[in-house]
Amino acid sequence: MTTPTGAATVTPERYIEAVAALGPDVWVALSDDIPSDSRTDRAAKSVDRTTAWLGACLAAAAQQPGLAAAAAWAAVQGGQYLHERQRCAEVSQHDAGGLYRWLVAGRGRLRVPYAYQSCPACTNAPLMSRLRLAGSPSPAPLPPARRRWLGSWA
Amino acid sequence: MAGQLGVSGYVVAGLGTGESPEQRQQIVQAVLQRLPAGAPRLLSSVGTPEEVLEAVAQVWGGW
Repeated sequence: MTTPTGAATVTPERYIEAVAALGPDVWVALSDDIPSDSRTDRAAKSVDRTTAWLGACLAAAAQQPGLAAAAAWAAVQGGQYLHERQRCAEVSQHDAGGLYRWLVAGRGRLRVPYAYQSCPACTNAPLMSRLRLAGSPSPAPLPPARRRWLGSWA
Repeated sequence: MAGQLGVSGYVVAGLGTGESPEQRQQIVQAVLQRLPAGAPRLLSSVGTPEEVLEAVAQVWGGW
């Protein structure tokens, strides 16, 4: 990464130190993000790096008491290549030992940040019809004990 | 040692970097086929409400 005073190398260990300082409920391992139109050999390298960094991040996190109760998530990379995407998903599970710990307990309800009727997509009849067919007749409160992630909303 | 950590969720990353909407749907579908059914997953770089709803419809349609 570049900084105002030059380039700095971010190792998995340094990354986890920064993550631990933030005290998160959920953290995502380092990954090698590439453009979608990267060549297939670059995508393969991205998957190799991403899965290697996942293992290194998990090992470093195990040394951080502040992350003992945090949930670790893996990034799935691979560009536009479906077989690389699937390889990344599979290796991420195997390298993590298949140990799934559900540590992020949600509280409260998901709040829609603006009036529902003011959202153009929500008045898109074909799309909303698909959602209703898929089993959601209306925005419903989330189950109280399920995990949830609230990301940025454009 | 603070304890052994494992992966409990997944981020479908690296999207929004030039792929077409059709490619994005194929990527998401391919990845979901390989993830544990009950694992939480985050779809990154989905910015507009319509993209969010399209993604939700796609996942539910695959169940």
